[in-house]
Amino acid sequence: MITFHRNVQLSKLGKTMMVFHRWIPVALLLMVGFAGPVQAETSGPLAQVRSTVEGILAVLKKPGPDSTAKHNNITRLIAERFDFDLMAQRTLATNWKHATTDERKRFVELFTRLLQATYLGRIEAYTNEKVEYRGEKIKDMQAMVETVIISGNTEIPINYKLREKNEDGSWRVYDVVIEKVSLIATYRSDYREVVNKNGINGLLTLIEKKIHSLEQGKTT
Amino acid sequence: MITIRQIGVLILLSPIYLVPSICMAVADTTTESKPQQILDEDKGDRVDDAFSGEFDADIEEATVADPLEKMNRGIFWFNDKVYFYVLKPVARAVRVVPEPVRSSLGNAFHNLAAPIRFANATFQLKFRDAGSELSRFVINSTIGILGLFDPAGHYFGLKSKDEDFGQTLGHYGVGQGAYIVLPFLGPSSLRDAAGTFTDVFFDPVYYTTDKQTQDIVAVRATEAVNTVSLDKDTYEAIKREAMDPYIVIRSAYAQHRAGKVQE
Repeated sequence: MITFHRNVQLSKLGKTMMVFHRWIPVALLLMVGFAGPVQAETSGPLAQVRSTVEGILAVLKKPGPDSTAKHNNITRLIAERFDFDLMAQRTLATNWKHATTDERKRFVELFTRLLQATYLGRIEAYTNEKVEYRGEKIKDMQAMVETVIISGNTEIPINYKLREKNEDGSWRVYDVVIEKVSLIATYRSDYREVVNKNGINGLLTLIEKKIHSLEQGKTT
Repeated sequence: MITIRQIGVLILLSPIYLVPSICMAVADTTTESKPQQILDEDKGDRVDDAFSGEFDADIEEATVADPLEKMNRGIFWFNDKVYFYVLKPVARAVRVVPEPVRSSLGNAFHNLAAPIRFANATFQLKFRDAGSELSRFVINSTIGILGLFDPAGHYFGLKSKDEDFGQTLGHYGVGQGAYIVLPFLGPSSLRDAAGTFTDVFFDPVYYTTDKQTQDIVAVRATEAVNTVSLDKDTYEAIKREAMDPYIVIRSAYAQHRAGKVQE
């Protein structure tokens, strides 16, 4: 910043820039001062889902082939908004109760990785879609945000179910309902069968294999 | 319509959750988002219990009985082969046709099925939806050039809502009955299969093809190929990601149909 100042100091433009520069930090401070706390309180579940979704779309639309950086950005955005612990618990449902602490921990970890491998494998196909935010409903600590994805001339309703975190007023997604099909309920029915047949440990082994094959981009 | 929708249902479940799966068939179900009572319906949802481990009540998702599972799995296997060895290669070849053309063709097929939606909205006494469907049919068949375009949706704000006789039966309290996987057509149930059969009589294709089975099949096959050509390999994704694709698709089907009936 300082170097920049010295270089342009002589010109008239430079002077203007200097004035400008002097004010930028102040302006930024003001913006942070106002925007920071206000945003945290007033932005409800819809605003939060919107900022995550738009953030992801922005990453996807950015030109350039650096897919590792893109993947990292997307993973970070999703990790901020999604409650993987809760999703994992709700997926195991009854079996969660019967699982040991260790099994639970491993399941949460593997399930998180599985979801990440899943969306990273598929997300790139959806660069040019438009999302409309249709509304939010809040009931105590739970909320539902209704969105529609518009792709060509089809519209696909996607609803996000969220739960409020007491600490900071942030809402976290614990289920996504696409065309009335719940992501979690579907995983639940899939995994229930596996647990019935092979037990929790069998499920954990299978998920591990799944993650491996998804990361390799193979079909099993 | 039939084939497409059934395939569509397979495709319904997008395993990624921030971005949608694209299923042309199901997705032409453009609904004004009518707030559903998902929160209330989630009564078993003990989210507020801070996860004391009481998850028994949580298992409230829509399910469908499947006493014919053995047979269904056989047909599922068969459909899977049809998809990969027949439908998919043809659809892939068809992708040389520019996407707007294929998507217009999709519009035309959807428009052609308007009488089915009109009839079933009427049966369920949803007169506003029926009226909207009728206006759409008139506008899109004329200004929209045989349904290739959708001016009714774009300029008149008339949205289409998916209705079929299976939903009509459901609306009047008929349960799904057993889950059945139909050859070529995919997931269904006793109720919905009966509905699909009944809907044929409201289908213009049935009459314009002079009720010739081979012609009807040709039309449906074209529609299926077109739909699959527009889809982003959703079925492949389900196969890749599910422990048991049969279970995942059955669950998605049950949830989707229950949601539709409730609407």
